[in-house]
Amino acid sequence: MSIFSNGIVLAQHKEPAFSRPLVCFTNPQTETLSLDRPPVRDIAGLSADDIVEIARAAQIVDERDGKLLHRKLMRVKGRGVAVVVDAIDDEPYVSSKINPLLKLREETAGGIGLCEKAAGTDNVFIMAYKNIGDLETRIPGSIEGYKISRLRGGYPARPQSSLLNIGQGRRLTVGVGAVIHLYRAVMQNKRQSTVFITVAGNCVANSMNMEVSIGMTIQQILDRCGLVDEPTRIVCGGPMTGIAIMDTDRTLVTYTTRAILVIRDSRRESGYNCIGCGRCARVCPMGLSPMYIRRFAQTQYYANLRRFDAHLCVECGTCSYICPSRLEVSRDVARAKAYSLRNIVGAQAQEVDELED
Amino acid sequence: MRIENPATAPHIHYHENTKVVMGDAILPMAAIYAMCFYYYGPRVLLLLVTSVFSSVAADVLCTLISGKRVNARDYSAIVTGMIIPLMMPASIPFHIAAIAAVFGITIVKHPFGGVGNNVFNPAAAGVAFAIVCFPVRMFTYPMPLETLPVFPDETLLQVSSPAFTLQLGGVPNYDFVDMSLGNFPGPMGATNILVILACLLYLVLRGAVRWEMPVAYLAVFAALCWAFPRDNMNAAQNILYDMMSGTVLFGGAFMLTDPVTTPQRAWAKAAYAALAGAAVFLFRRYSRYEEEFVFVLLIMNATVWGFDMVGERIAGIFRRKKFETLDDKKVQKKQ
Amino acid sequence: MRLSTIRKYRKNSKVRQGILSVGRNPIILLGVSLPFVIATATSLRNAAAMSLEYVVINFVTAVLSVLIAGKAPFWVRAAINVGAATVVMMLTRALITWMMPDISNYLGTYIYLMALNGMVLLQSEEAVRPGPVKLWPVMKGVVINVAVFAVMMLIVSLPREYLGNGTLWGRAIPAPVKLSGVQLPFFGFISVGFLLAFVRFTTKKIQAFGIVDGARKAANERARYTAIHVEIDE
Repeated sequence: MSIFSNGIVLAQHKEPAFSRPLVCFTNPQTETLSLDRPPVRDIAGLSADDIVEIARAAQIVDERDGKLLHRKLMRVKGRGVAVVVDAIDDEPYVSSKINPLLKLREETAGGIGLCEKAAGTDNVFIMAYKNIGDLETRIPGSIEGYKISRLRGGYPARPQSSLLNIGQGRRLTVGVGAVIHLYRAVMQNKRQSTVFITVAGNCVANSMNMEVSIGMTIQQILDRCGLVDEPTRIVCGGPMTGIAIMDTDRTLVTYTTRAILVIRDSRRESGYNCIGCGRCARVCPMGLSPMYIRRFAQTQYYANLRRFDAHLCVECGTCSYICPSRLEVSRDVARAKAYSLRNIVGAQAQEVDELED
Repeated sequence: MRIENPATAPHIHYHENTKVVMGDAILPMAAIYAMCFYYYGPRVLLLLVTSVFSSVAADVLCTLISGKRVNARDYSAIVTGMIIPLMMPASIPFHIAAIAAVFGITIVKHPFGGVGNNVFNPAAAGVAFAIVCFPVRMFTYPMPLETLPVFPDETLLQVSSPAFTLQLGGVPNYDFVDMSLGNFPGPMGATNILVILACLLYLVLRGAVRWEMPVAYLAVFAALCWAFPRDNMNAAQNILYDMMSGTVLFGGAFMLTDPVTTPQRAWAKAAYAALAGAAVFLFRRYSRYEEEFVFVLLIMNATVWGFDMVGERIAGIFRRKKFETLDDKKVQKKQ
Repeated sequence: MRLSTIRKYRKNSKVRQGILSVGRNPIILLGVSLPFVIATATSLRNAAAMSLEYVVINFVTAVLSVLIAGKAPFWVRAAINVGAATVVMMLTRALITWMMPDISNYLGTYIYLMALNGMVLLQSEEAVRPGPVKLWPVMKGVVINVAVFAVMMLIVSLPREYLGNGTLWGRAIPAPVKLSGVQLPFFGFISVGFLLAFVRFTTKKIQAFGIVDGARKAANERARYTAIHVEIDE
């Protein structure tokens, strides 16, 4: 019964990008942008307001959700909430959160300390995804004194994380990238001008984690990495939830880009019908029945979408992953969910992401 | 560079595709056909070819008529074509197998929506139609271990199966070793009990069949046979004879577990299989035909939607309970 | 409740509108001809006999209902209609038994059922519409109804007899196979379903000739902007 299971175990393929050092590929003109304020001399004397002010001046954006970091810190200032540093990389190939955590330890630890001070709490820990099989470097138990809490289970791990900590009160989740940029803003007076991404796929000669400037085109990054094959698919984001892009010269790296996958498919399988095997219902982490939701949406039987809880879908893509007929189940269920949230009013319609902070 | 026709997430897939799922059903049946070939000779393979050919031809024709694209890698018609002769005697004329296959595909599968949408199992419907049209020829079987000629003579010695003896109230006079090896007259594929059990184990271990289904089905059937044995035998004999004679085991392994026509959730599947086991017991005891599994299956297929709705309600209760911690009330209380 | 109150509101009651208003009750409309097609249209001779009985009963009751329209309350008219239909049915049955004795046993109860044919009630209801009742419109309706029934019975019974028995009009003709299951009622449902599908198919094809290309393109464009795609070409 999938409601009692922990998602589906995916082969992660995170090596070799995971253990390689972080490569810098930045635009020299934007990299040295500094803040419009004098550099900080006395770190220990910074108050929470100062840190928030620096975050605002540096325009740091949290890469998890695209929100400005100073706004997030301001909302929890002095309330004693727990601060969780999100280093969860549960999708295959992507390691753009955990890699900077391991390679830039001092910066991360310093940034976490600053977040601690800004939020006025000492309950800070890092969350990382544990179920990765073939790693060459070990994920340590703590970084510079900050504990790394491990998530177990299968993909998707993010919804499980929200369940695990709900009993401990409210918490603030920040991404690793934002933490590092906060440290740099305070220590080196730098504005955020880069993001950490993973470049991987079977068309890339050396898959690696990179720090790239925001605003670069995807084509520039691919030229830097070098392609060995003609790709049929270029994805911005993870393989389960990413968006395939059409034009690499006109797509830019943004604050929330975390991976670029360059894939060549061997054979497209199409033209199959749903055979009703029920595998999608078995792997759905929310316990839904994607087969039926899809069928109702296609036959326009909208009354049943609420009964089958289509609005609880977290769009993880596991149902499409497992479908033997290679149907676009996740896309159809996401559409049905949008429809049911828009048009069907009921007691269950809550915005799920509001609950995290 | 530009890439036309970008795809949607997810961009990786599990390695199992429909070919593997269908192949999971075809492979065990090939094993059964090998056993039948050993018992009845090359006629078995000719029957297989006829049935598969007619079902695939009917499938292609119906797909073209309904305006859809023909998918050459869709093996569901082949699976139907393979199941149908296994429930018939080995000496059945070829045209009956072909008629059953064509009926099943054109009248029971495509008008209800084609692959994945059919309410009734087309193989079961085809065999049921053949039983209704040709009751005598479907129930007279040749003796095993005699190579059958391709066009058998009508006056060849044909015997009735132990199912018929049971229906009359007698005790079949085959011993258990013979019965489990398949050395007794009966439907071509349904007599090889040991091979069928091995195939069932293979299907369960591969994940093509949830273990709850055959276990619930056989458990309920055996329990009812044990509680209400026939008049002239004890409980243990009754269980073994009833299970081994006829298509009870074969149907439970291959036809009851067809993914399209069963409910979705595991417990709904188990309840469905249990009810099917009870119905099969009743039909075996009190029906006029000696071979009644296909009729029971067709009736049960009609109830699948009810099991699914009830299963979904129950799943909804569990689901809401689990995610109830995200409720507004509890979050506000903590503030 | 008082009887006078009941009488006053009986006109608006759902029972009256649903069950008795036979022009709108789909069960009665279906029950007019469907059971006969399914169970008795198994050979051409059966179909001919049933159509004959249908013709006779309908004509007689139609004429009768026109004659007594408006002259008596509803239940009196219905009783007269059904009584007349029963008498006619008895006569027809005797006729069928004399012409084709072997099938009157097979048809059995369906011959008797035809007397209570909903069409009977329908016509007596139709004859009560306000205004003078003319014979000719009622006759037109009856002729169309009877013709449709006869044609449907013929179309369904032809393949059923050929496939099921290998005969046509009782005479054996060379047929490759005899599927006796085709004569069972379940195949009657299937054949009616296929007939319906065929009728819809041809209607769509005929209509397709009349649609201007631009109107179809506009309809497709509109369909593309709906929230949930109903693309069935997967």
